[in-house]
Amino acid sequence: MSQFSTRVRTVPIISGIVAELVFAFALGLVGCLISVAAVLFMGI
Amino acid sequence: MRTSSKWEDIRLILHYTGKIIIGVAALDLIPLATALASGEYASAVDFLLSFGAALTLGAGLSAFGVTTRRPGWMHGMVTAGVSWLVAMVVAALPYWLSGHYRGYLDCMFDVMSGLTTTGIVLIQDLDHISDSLNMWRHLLTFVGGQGIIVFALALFADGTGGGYGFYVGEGKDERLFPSVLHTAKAIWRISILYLVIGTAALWIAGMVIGLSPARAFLHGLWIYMAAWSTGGFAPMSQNILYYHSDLFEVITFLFFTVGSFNFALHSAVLRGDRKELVRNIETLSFGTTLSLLTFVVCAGLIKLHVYPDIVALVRKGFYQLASAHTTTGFMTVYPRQFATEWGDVAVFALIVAMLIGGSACSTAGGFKGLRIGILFKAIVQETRQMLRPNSAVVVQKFRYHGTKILSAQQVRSAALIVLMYVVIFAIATLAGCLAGYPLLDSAFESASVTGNVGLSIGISNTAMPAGLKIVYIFNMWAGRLEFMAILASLGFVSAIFKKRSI
Repeated sequence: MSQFSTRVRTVPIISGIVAELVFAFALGLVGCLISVAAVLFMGI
Repeated sequence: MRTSSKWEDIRLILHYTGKIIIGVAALDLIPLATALASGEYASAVDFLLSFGAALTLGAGLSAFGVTTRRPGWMHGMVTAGVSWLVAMVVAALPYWLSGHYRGYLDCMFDVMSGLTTTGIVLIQDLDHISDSLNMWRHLLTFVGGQGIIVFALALFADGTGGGYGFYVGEGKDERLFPSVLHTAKAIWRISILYLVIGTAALWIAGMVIGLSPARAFLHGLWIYMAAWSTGGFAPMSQNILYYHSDLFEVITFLFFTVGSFNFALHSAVLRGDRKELVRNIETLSFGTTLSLLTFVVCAGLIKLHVYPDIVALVRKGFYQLASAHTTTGFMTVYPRQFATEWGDVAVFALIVAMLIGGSACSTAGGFKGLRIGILFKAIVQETRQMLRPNSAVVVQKFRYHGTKILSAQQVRSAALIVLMYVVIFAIATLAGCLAGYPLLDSAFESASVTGNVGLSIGISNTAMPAGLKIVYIFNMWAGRLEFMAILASLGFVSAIFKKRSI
């Protein structure tokens, strides 16, 4: 019973962290690409 | 709060700071759109770079600090203090790229001035900056007035625990609703409602004085943003004097006065409780001090025969005083006129008005009418107590969103905040004197930055010493956040060195 309740509690927390990490990395990547594009525009 | 490592605390604070910086990045999209619409392509690239850089930093901080822990009260307070500083650095990038500043410190000064709704500027050649940069300036002061954390809460919050710590850390302590998230959204609903009304009124006023419809709209929008947030920014270097319009002065007076009222008061009035408007201790305090100080300003100006007739006297004297008292900073005189024409009596009244400021939980700065009202009630209570036998218990009541009984805790809290304001005001005044400025000028400029006002007597310019700029930045920051977040941040740094968790 205790094993079951641990699984129920842990899975959403871990998937929440993974979702946050994926979201943050995606935003960061988009930010990097935009910055690089802007610097290239400035060079032109 | 449960014990945890300091490293976990730092990660948690960085995570939420990152989210707030992502919110700041999102703001870049508005001036970016303005630049594209106005054909200002060089500025558009500046904002594109700023957006990308802020997004990268915000996402990086957010990813670095991802944790299963929920933020506590202290995490919220420290995040509030730290995020304002990080936002200052990030939001300064478009200013720096514009080429209108002598250095990055000046850019950060103007960002802090905007976010804290102070309104003093170090920008060069303000009259010829791009529309998109003007949009950025006024957007910062508009969002800063509501609070960048209130903005981020409205955007990202998911019922986060510790949210009240974030909210209070930003100098607001009045919940309009039991949930902080609902309160943040309600604050934005109120602001957007007035945004539509205010912009429309100033748009019409702009066309009446001869601006083209497009210019009138942009000027109306920007002036409204600065008026409502009691920010004091304007698109032209002459500020409101540029328009030479009594209509503009009346409309801006109405909106900056309304903007300086407590959001809870707005909420009560919009719900139909109009009695609160005339019974609330803050509005009574504001009305009383504004009346008394108007009398002092007029007496000072009459004594020196500054203005030829009563209409000019009231128009100039009352407008600057109301602008000072609501901590707006709109001006219809030139800065040096305060020093060379107004005389010591009127300038003294302005300094007092700037330090008192507007209402708690509003866009205004200063130590707030609520605290003046509470301290006045405490003096009345003490006097009544002295006139009665020692065994008598004197109960003092006041009206503040319901009838409240004055407590020793409220008096102590009000006295401490007023004391801290006076201390940092004195420090900035001393810094001005050390930099070689006269005492009255230093006190005026110090009161203006400490109370987040924006009136200037001429000290604040790009040539002033860097040390004085840093002192003024600190005072704007500390004055806006009302010290709690600053003290929490200092306590956090101290805890790190002492190897304790918060």
